Amino acid sequence: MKRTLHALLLALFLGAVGLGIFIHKLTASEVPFFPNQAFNSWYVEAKISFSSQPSPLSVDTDLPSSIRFHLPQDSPRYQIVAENFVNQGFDRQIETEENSTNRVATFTKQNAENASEFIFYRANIERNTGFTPIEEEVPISGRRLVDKQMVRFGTNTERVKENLAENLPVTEIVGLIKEAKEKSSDRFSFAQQIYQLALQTDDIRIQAVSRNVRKPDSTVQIAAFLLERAEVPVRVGNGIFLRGEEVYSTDFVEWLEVKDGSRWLALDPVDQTFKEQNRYLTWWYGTDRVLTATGANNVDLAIVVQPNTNDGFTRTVLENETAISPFLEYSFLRLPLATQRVLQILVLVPIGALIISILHQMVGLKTFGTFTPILISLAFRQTGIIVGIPLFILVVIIGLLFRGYLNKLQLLIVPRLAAILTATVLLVGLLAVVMESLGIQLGLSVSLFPIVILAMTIERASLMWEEDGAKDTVIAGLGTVLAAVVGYFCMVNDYVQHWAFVFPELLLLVLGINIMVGRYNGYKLIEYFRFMSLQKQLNQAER
Amino acid sequence: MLPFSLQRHGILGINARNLDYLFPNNPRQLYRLADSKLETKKIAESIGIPVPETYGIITFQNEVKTLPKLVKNCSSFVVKPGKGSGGDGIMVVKEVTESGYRQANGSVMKSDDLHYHLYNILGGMFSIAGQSDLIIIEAMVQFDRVFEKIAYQGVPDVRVIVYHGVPTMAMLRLPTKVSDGKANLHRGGVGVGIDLATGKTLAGIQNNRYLDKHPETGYPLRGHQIPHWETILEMAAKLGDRTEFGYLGVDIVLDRDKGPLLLEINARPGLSIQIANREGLTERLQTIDRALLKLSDIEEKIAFAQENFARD
Repeated sequence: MKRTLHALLLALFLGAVGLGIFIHKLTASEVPFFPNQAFNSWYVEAKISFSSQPSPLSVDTDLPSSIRFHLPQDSPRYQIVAENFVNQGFDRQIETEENSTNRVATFTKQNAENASEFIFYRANIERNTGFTPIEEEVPISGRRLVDKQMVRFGTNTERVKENLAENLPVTEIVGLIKEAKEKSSDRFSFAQQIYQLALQTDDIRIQAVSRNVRKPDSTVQIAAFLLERAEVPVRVGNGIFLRGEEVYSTDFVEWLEVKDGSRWLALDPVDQTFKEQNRYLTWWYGTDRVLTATGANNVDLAIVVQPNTNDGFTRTVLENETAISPFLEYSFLRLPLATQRVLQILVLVPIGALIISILHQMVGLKTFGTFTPILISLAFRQTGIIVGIPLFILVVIIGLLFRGYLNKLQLLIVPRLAAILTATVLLVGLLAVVMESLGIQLGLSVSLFPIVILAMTIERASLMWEEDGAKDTVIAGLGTVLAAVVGYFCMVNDYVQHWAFVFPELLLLVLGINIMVGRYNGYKLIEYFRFMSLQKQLNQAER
Repeated sequence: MLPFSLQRHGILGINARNLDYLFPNNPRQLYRLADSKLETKKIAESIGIPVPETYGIITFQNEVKTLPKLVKNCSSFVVKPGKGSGGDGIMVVKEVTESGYRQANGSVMKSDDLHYHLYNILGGMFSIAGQSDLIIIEAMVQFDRVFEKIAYQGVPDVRVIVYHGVPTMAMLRLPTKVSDGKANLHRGGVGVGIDLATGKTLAGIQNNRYLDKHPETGYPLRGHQIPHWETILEMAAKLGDRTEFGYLGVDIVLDRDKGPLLLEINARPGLSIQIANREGLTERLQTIDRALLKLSDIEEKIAFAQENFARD
């Protein structure tokens, strides 16, 4: 009794501290209580990786490494709230190009060493108020067009420019412009017609023209090229699409803008109208590459977009450099993006653990291993539950068959476990390849599926099979899946994710509940069934 | 009605067993002793409790080959994992033949297969936390003739729950065909309640369901007198009294020549014994708690148990 009281007091204390900080945060700052469903804020992180080793063919070995990188710019729709760089060892210079809104960052380093290096750029983007969150998704009919405009970084040759000047397919150009002019009345309808023509990739005139632009597949560039020939003020916009879901590596999208008086209007490829560009985050204008490098090779660029659900909180943290509350000062949101992503998952683990302890102590669910289900539910978070459950069951069944076979060879226990582990890795790899070729996107998620956990599950399951028979194994297997599913739905919940990450002090409450569950001496749910016959006997005896 | 009847009948649940009886009464560091059959044997011998004779111990993989030498002079033997639980990994060899080892269930195991089993035991396949283990090879118990009609192969044993040295509840565990010659209830063995005062059997259970006859032999389970009952109670009480375990399950086998022998002690005894005895444990444990200070020696504790926990 004394211990139970002690535990109760401790739990109450922890709960009170957790709730106290939580309420303080809520009242003293603008931290939103509910997760922000309409994404109004994003993190954009660009990672430039390269090797600063001078090319062995270069005569001038002392050439300094220099990277010119376009930066995103404010647009009517999006605003860059904050940005920062990680460019150790490099000088950084940011300038705005003449006669344009393009911003360029130049990173230079005098003494190029033989080393692979990284430059990080991170920006916090917000949707401007006034722009209501219109539908994010492109309708399916327009999807193909938008996809067509997705261009990959790094396909470029300098020769195109020379070709452009020397071998202009004049007849074809004149023909195309004439055709478009006949069907149009003003500048915009002309631009629309040109764009329509540029879409006809089987037209030999377009094919001739496409050889003269930098990206032969780009409808936008072909159209812009033709419009320039017809002396229409035109420019190519480059940007990225900010989605509601996390994108690990996104591509740039191109669009066409035509000048109307002092405004630039963009052609919406979906409904063929000109309006202010409000779909993409503008990165730069023109047909230049997003980055150019000298004195460096193996240059690569990856752009990560992460919607920020904790909009208000980020704003609170970022705008008030010295935050009002020490709890905000030392919040998770000040950490680097990669660390934040790890923590977002990490804070869910205690929630899963609480669910497991309730399922074990109060329900009496049997599982393979105690905390295996949490790891499986974390894996489900990656794969999605519809793919996750069959995948899990499939891998475990195939693994069991393999183990059954190994059993015949009478291998010793540790090498056998290692063999199962190896087989599991191969199996998951094979499944990923097969799924990919069937068009089921698993790619990234499968690689994060905790393979060791799978192998251990297989080993436990097969041991149980031998020791306790098929029935117990199936029961424990179903228990594992059930616990994983329950855990999954608790962890995947927007509110749980938001509260656990933004209000980590609530985990003290979780800790308190856990301590209370630890002193629960009542019956488990399954014991009512286990002692069913005894209860019946005793109830009869009473009468 | 249903949800409350567990509480009303004083049935002990697993959480209450752990929180109210195991944790406060069994010091954590002692579990090791109960989990290791070798340590258990040492303790038993030190307080004068008979155990089955040990033929040999195998600790390393290269010693597995010496098995034939260890059992050279014995017609039968038992192989046990040193830290096994719930009867897992135990193998009873009735007879060593030309073709291999004849098991309790009659099937013959090839020498290679037995060696593989031994390697698995050493690798920790049956040990409680999966750590590497050792193998105990000991004498097979020739069970008392009393059980011939109600035991299917294997060895029946008597489980006594001892609380602070006071025998609390007892049950006879009988192996069945389903349980593969093992007496453990969770494997399908039959549990039969025992009247603590007289040592006479009560009704039986299998997989938590009541039965009157042994499922294979068809012989009635009720009304058998367990031989050496006073000695069994004394052994159990002694183990509870002389060790630091406050709440203990004691498993005793009856050898036809040597009488009761201690098989193992269990620091986390199961709760099905309540079903077999058609009575909850809570009330008996509380009765003991109230009287404990007045009970000074083993005799008094046994007398107290026989007086208070008799069945009419």
